[in-house]
Amino acid sequence: MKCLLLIFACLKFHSACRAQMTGLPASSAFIGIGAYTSSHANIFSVSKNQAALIDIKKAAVGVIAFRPFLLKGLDAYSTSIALNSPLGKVAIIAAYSGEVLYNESQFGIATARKLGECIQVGIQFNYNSIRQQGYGKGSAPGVEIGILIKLSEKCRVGIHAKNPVAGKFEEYERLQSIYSSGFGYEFSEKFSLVFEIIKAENLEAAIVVGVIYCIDPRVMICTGVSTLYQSPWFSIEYLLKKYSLSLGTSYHQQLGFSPTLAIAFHLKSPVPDKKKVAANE
Amino acid sequence: MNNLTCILLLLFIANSLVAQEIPPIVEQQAEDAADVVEETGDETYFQLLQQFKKNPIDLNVADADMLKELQVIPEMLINNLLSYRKLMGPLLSIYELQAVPGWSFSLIQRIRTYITVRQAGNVQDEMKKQLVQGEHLIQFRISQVIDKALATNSVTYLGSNQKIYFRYRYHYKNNLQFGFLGDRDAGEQFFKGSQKTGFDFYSFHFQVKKVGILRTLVLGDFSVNMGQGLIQWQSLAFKKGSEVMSVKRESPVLKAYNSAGEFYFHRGVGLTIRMGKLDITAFFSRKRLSANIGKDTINNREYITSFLTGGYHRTATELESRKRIVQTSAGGSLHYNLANYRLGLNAVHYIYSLPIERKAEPYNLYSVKGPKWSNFSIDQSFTWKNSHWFGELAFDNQLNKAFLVGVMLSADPKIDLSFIYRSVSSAYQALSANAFTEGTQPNNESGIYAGMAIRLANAWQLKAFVDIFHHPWLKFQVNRPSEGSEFMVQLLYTPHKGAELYCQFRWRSKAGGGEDNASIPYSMNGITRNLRLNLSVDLSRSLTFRARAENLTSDNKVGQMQRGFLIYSDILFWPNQKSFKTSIRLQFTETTGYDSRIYAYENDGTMGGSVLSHWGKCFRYYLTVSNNLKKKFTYSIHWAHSMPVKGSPALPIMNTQQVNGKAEIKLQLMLII
Repeated sequence: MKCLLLIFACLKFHSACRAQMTGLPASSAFIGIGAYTSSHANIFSVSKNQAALIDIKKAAVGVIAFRPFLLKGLDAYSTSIALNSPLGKVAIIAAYSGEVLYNESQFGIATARKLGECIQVGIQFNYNSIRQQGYGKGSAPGVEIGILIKLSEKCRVGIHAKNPVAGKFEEYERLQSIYSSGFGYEFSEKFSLVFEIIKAENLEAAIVVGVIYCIDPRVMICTGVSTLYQSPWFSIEYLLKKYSLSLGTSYHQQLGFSPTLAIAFHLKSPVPDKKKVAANE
Repeated sequence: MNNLTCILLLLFIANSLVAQEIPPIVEQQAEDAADVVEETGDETYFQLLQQFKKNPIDLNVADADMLKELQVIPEMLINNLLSYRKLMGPLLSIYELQAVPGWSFSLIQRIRTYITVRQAGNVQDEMKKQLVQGEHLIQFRISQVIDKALATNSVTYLGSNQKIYFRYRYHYKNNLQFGFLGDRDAGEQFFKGSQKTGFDFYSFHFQVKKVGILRTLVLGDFSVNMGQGLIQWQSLAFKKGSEVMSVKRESPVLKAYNSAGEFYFHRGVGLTIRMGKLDITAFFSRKRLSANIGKDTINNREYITSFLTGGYHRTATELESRKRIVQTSAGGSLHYNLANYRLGLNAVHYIYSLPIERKAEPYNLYSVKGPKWSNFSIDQSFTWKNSHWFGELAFDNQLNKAFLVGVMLSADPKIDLSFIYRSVSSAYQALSANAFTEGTQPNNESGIYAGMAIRLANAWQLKAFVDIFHHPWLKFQVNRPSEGSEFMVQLLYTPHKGAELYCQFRWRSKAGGGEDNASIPYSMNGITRNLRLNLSVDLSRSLTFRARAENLTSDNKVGQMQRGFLIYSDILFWPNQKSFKTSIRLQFTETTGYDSRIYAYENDGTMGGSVLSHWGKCFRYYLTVSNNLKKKFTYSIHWAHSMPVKGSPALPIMNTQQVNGKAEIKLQLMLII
C-alpha cells in the first residue's frame, strides 16, 4: 500500500512539474534556453522552439539525461538528431520518462523554414504514448509550433505552442497544452540575457530569467531562476572539438537537486577555429 | 457553419482594404482604462482620431485646443510648439518638429498620422475648399452573438439578439459638424413594443467652431469637461497606465457627443465665446435618464436609489426604469488665457425630478442626497521653464473640498517626470466627475502619484509609476478606512520603426472583496500582480506580426488566490498598404476565476476597436476583414469564436460584450461622400 501511495505521489508531482517536453519539467528550463539567441542555439534548443533548427548549420546529435529531485522513478531521457536534408532542416526527437510502473514516451519529427530575413518558423509532429502497469497503455498525436523573430542583431523573440489542439489518449485523458514566449538579448558575444514565460495547462505560469556567459569560446555558463517552485538553476557547458558536454542542475528548497547531463556531437565543431578567425581579422 | 461559409465567401469577394486601427499606444491606454471605456461607452475620441487621420491637423494653423484633442501631447510641448511658431514662423516640414524643444522622435512618430504641415499660402485655398467640400459619413453596424445559452436568455428579452447601430455625420475639418445616431442593444425591441420609434437610443448634435468670437456652439448632445475633472468630466479620459506622462486632463470644455453610450453626456445647448484673453462657456441641458426608483410607502414618495448607466432596456424590469427621471443641468466656465498661463472658474448645477437617496449603508454616509447638487472650482495651469504645473480646487454645495495639483517636468532631454497630489474629502461629491484618482469618482481619497519616462539609449525606454493612496472613509465592499499602492515598470525596446517589444510588470495592493454586510468585519488588502510581454513587428510592408503573453495573479478575496494567463498571436495582412486589410488572432486564455480576468484589445473593424475581458479556459480566434472601395465605401466583417476547453467549468455571461464560449459576428458598412 505504501508503495502504491508513493507511486501516486510521484506521478502527481511528475505531471505537475512537466512543462517542456516529455520527461523534462519546467525546472529544467535552462535546457535549450539558447533558442532565444542566435549565437547560443544548439541541438537542445529545437525542443524548446523548433524554429531554432535553422540555427544548426551542420548535422548534430544530442542526448539528455535528467533525474528530477534525484528520484530514480522520474528519470527522463531525450535524444535528438538534426539533419540537413534535401527538403530542408529536419530533426528527429525521441524522449522517454518514468520507469516500469508508469512511463511516457514521445517520438517526434521536426522541420523549420526561414521566412524572410527576420522570421523563422518550425513545426514538430509527435507521437506520444503512456503506459501504466495494470491499467494498459494509450497513445495520442501531438503538434508543436515555434516562431523566432529577429528584432535586431542583438534581440530575438520567440513564441511556442505545444499541443494547442490537444490529442486524446482516451476519452478523459488528453495531452497537456503548453505555451511559452520570451526573448533574448545579446549584450555582447560573451553575455546574453534571456526572459521567458511558460504556461502549462492547469499549472501556474513559470517565469524564467537567465543569463548566458561565455568565459571562453569553449566554456559557457548559464544561470538563472524559474518562479515555478522558486527554483534557481545553473549549468556549465564545455566544447571539445566536435563534442559538447553540459552539466546542470536546478534546486528545489524541499526536494533538492535535479541534475541534468547533456552530450552533443556536431558534424562541424561549433567552436570557431582560432587560426581562421585570426586570418579573417 | 453556415455563418462561417458566408464569411469565407465574403472574404473571397473582398478586393481592397481600409486602415481603421488605432495606434498601439492608444490600444494600450484603452486596455489600461478598460473599465472606464466600458462604463462610459464614449467612442468620440476614436472617431476624432479617425477624422484627424483623414484631415490631419495642420501644425501651422492649429491652436492649443485642437492639439489637446489628440490627448497625447503634453501641454508643455503644445506651448513650446506655439512659442516656436511665433518666434520662427511657420514650420517648413514635419521634420522641423524635432527642433521644437521637448518634441522627441518617438512622440512625432506616434502622432505622425494625425498631423501635417502646409505652407501658409495653401491654407487659405484649403479652407476655401473645405467650406464647400464637407464630408458626409453614413455608418451602419450590426452584430450578433451566436450562442445557445444566449438564445435561451432571449426568451426573457423582449427583442431579438442583434445589436444595431446607425450613424450619420457631416463635417468639414474640425469646424462644422452635425449628425445623429441610433443604437439598439441586443435583446431590445425594434419598431415595436416600447420602442415603436425604432432604436432604443437616439442622439443628435450640431457643432460649429471658430466663427467670429464664437469658439464653439453645440446643440443637441454634447459632453462637458472642466478643469482636472474634479467637478465635471464626461469624455473619455485615461487614468494610470503605461503613458506615465499623460496625467493631465486636457480637452476643450464643450465637445459634440456622437457615441452610443446613453448616460455620460448632456442634451441641450452650449457655447464658448472668446473675448480677448477670456473664454466664456455656458451650457444648459435637460434629458431623461434611466434609474432605479425606490418607494417610501409611509410618506407616499419616490426617490432615486441608483442610476442605470449601461443603457440596457431588454426586459420588462429594465423597461420599467427607462427614462424615469428628468435631469436638468446648467453650468459654465470662465477662462483667462495668457501665453503660458491659464486660470479658470467652473460651476455646474444639477436638478433631478426625484430626490437621490442611496441605500442606507455606512459607506453611503456622504453620498449625494436630495434633488439638487452643485459644484464649483478654480483651475489653473502654467508653464515655468521646463515644467508645466496644473491643478484644481473644487467644492460642492456643502463646501466639502477636493484638491488636485500636478507637475510635468522635463528634467533632462532624456528624462521626463510627472507628479500628482490629490486630496478629496470623504464628504466631497460630484455627479459627473472623472479626475486622475484611484476611484472611479473623485471622492474619499488622498494620494500621491509619481511617473517617470527615461530614454535610456536610442532603442530603449523605461517607464515607471508609483501611486500611494488612502481612503479615509469606507467604500463599496470595503468596510474600513483603507490604503493601497500601485506601481508599474515597463521596459520598451524599439530597435527600428517597425518593431516594438515591451515587458511590463504591474503590482497593486488595494482593499476590496469584503462583503456588503457586516458578517466580514474587516476587508483585507488584495494584491494583484501582472506581467506582460508584448511584441509588434513589421515583417514586410504588407505583413505585421504581433504577440502577447500575460500572466496575472490576484488574491483580492481572502484565501482565494486566482491566476490568469493569456497568450495570443496576431497577423495583420495589408497588401501594399492599399485598401484591403485583414487581421487574424489566435488566443488561449486560462484563468481560475473572474477576478483574474485579463483585458485585451481587439481589432473588430470598428473605429475604436474593442477591449474585451477574458476569463475561463478557452481558445479564441477572430478574423477581421475590411475593404475600402474607391475610398468611399468601406465594409468590415469581424468573426470571433471562443471555444471553452472541454471539462473546464462554465463561467457566467456577464453581458453581450463578453463572448466567452460563443461566436460573434459583426458587420459594418460605411459610406463617405
